[in-house]
Amino acid sequence: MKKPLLEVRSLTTHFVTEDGLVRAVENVSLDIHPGEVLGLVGESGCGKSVTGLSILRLLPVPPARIVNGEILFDGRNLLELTEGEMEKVRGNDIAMIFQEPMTSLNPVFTIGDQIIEAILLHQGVNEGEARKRVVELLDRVKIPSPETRIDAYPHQLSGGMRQRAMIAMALSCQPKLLIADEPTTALDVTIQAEVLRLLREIQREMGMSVLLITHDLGVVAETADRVAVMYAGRIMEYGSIETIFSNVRNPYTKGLLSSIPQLEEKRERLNAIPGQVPDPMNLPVGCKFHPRCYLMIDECKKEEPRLFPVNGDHLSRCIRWQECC
Amino acid sequence: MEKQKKVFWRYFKKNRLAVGGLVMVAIIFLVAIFAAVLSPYDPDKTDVSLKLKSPSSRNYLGTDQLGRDVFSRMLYGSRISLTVGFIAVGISIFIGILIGATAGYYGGWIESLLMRFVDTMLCFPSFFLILTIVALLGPSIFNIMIVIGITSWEGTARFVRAEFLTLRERDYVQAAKALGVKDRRIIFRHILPNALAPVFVTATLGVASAILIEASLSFLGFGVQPPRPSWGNILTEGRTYIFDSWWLTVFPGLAILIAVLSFNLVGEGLRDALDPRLRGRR
Repeated sequence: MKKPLLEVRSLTTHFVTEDGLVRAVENVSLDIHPGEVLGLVGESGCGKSVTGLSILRLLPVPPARIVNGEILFDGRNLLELTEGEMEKVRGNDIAMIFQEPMTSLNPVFTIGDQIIEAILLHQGVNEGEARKRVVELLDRVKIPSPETRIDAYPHQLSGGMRQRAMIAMALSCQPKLLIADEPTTALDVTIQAEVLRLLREIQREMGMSVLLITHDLGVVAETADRVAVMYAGRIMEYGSIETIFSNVRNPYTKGLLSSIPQLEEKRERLNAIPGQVPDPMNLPVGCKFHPRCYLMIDECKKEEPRLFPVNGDHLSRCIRWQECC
Repeated sequence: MEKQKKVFWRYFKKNRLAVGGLVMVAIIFLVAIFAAVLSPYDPDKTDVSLKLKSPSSRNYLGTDQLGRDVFSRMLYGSRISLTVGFIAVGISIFIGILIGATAGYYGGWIESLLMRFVDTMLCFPSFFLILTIVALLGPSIFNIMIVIGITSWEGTARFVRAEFLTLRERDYVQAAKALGVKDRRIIFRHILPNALAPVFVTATLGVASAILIEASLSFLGFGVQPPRPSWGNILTEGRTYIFDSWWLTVFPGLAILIAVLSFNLVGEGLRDALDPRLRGRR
């Protein structure tokens, strides 16, 4: 197999707060190959967004601190770059789109101005050329009549259109990697499907890699090639989309999968995982999932399990992975 | 943007006093610009045979102890007031934005350092500070503008910092960072335009207080030096004749009152129209 585009090695990100140390991301390793979509799934607060922001070094320091790890992008460790070098990577090599298209665009500028800014920043072109490219980009993300919409202010566009404009902005410098943090969560379901289809289409066309951060396994199933499931700052299960959906080897992933409502079923309540997400300042000893796990045995409380290799690339952090599911 | 302007006008127009103030401000501006055309006499031309004449059809506002036409001197005096008002405010807004934005955006020790400096500056009674500096540097219109500017920026710095504290957490700031935009550009191009509304309000109110400070300084003899006319020094020269020649003190006093009042009314109207929470109170 080819060398990965992005290798995250034992990334550990902590937040130093007045109430104590929050271990948001603990020893996370991931890799993304060129042209691949990796889904990063988990509940709110499991550390998936922090992982994404750590890669671009966008977390405010303090309170955040990347304690350990390496983030190798194209062979360079991003954690060792100077702020100036990092500014050249952001937007140009790695772009990011955010959850809230409503607030991710600056209300005082037209969307054209905002995208032009990104192009002028990284590509050596003049303003007229940049403007032409923006029209093409807006057309590419299927915004109707891009010649006039380029001069629209964000409040004049619908949520779906704004997210398309955000995607256009992220794609403006043809990044090698796109980090999409819950790109469809704030949109309604029909628009979600369209935006996902668009993302997938453009990703294939440009041969771009995507780190898709979401809490929605349905989104991952439709879009990703491989999945990493996170819980309490750790990776619980990691593998290709087919193996995870057909051969679950982790009780947490299983719980997530069974909480997706099925069309044929008639039931009053959703199948939820019992218990609550643990307090990140006060994580349980041993396996972080054991208080909520139906497979829990005494051993789970003693020591945190390592990632067991199930089959090739398929990994699971559970001592009873063989019995699971 | 167009829509916002329309909404702004709708609310501003409701406030009759503010509209009146705006009209007055416009008139003062026109007077200052066309002072040379409007004034019937040379403001510096003395004629002792005409001294201390009361207002008449020949001298609308009478003449002073040297026989100079008060009306003409008042028209030229409006130039001083407006120039000092606007340039002093320009300087103070510039410093205020620079310090407030830096403190609010970076936070941490930079913020602590800058804001403690602001607190220190606020401890000085600013009028006496101005007097001291003018006494040291010598009175001139140029010095007055700079001194008023560098002693009145603290309020702007404080609320610009407060605005930046909330605005820097906005998603679009994060998005701009993710695009590799440099800090300086984020501060001035992405955040500042979103914080400008209250800056306009303080600027307008600041013009009023700068006009007042200039008049006070000129009154005390530390401001614009005669024979150059300013409302403040016309007033101070007329003080000696206050019981015999009332027009020498009443008209410049009224001019200062009207100018300051107009700018304050416009400033308050702006604040009410720009702040959605204050709308519809009337």
